[in-house]
Amino acid sequence: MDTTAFQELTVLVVEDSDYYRRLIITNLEAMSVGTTEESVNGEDAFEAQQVRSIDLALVDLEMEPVNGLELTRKIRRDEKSADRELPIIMITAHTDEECVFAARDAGVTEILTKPITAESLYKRIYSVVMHPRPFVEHETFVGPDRRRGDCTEYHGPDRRLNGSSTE
Amino acid sequence: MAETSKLREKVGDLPAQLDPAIVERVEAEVAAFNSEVEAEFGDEIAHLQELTSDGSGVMSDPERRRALYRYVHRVWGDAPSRGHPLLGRAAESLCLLLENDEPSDDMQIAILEHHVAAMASI
Repeated sequence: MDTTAFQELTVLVVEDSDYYRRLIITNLEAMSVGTTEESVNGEDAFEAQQVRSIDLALVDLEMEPVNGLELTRKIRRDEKSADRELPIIMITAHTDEECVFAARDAGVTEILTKPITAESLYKRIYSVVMHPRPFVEHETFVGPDRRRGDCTEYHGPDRRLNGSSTE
Repeated sequence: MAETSKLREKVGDLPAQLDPAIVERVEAEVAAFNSEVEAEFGDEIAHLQELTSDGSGVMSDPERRRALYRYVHRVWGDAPSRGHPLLGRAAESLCLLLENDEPSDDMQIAILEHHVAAMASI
């Protein structure tokens, strides 16, 4: 990996655990991320997102007073948001389907489950960078397209079949 | 619909795998960091014991129960990365108990106390 790849990036780390915040930043610094910003809850993070230019946010789920899902919705929908399309990687210890769907429906770009490793973190960043999904702005949903089909160019009547035949 | 590809313009193409040298460096740094903060874990478990010393009081007070949930949830998230996966499992199990909003009974209070005792033992 070219170690200069991430040098121009500013990554916002939103995590209320001092330990985990430092762990994430240790990983980012080892990947030569140029700038890391820190927030301890969603409220502070939303303010930081308005005044600093952020390329990527790593957001913990369980925080107070504003949790990771609420922060994601604010970034996606609030008129004060500096970048509604900001890629957001949600970090959580929860692996249940309910949590994954809630994150997806809030507009999260990727989910990363704890415990994190350098490889798992890189894999999510890689996915955000190399496999961006169309950004959807609709009355009921704002965020990266929740469908992850490979066939993104085809818009015909059978587009949901993803190449498989009905016969 | 616009694609969220601003990041790719900034960083260019990435290799599918992270450089093993970087992985090795992170692992060494995390191991050193974990040994620095190992002693703090004992204090955190002692604080957990304080928070739950009045089991029935905690379980019947939604605000205290929520505060305890948040504390235990943090242990759940942190412990595996700090080299204590079993402690993380115990914390996860305790979070499941605390998530339940139904009024607590003697059985739930006993389960709470056993969880905290188990976490202190680990």
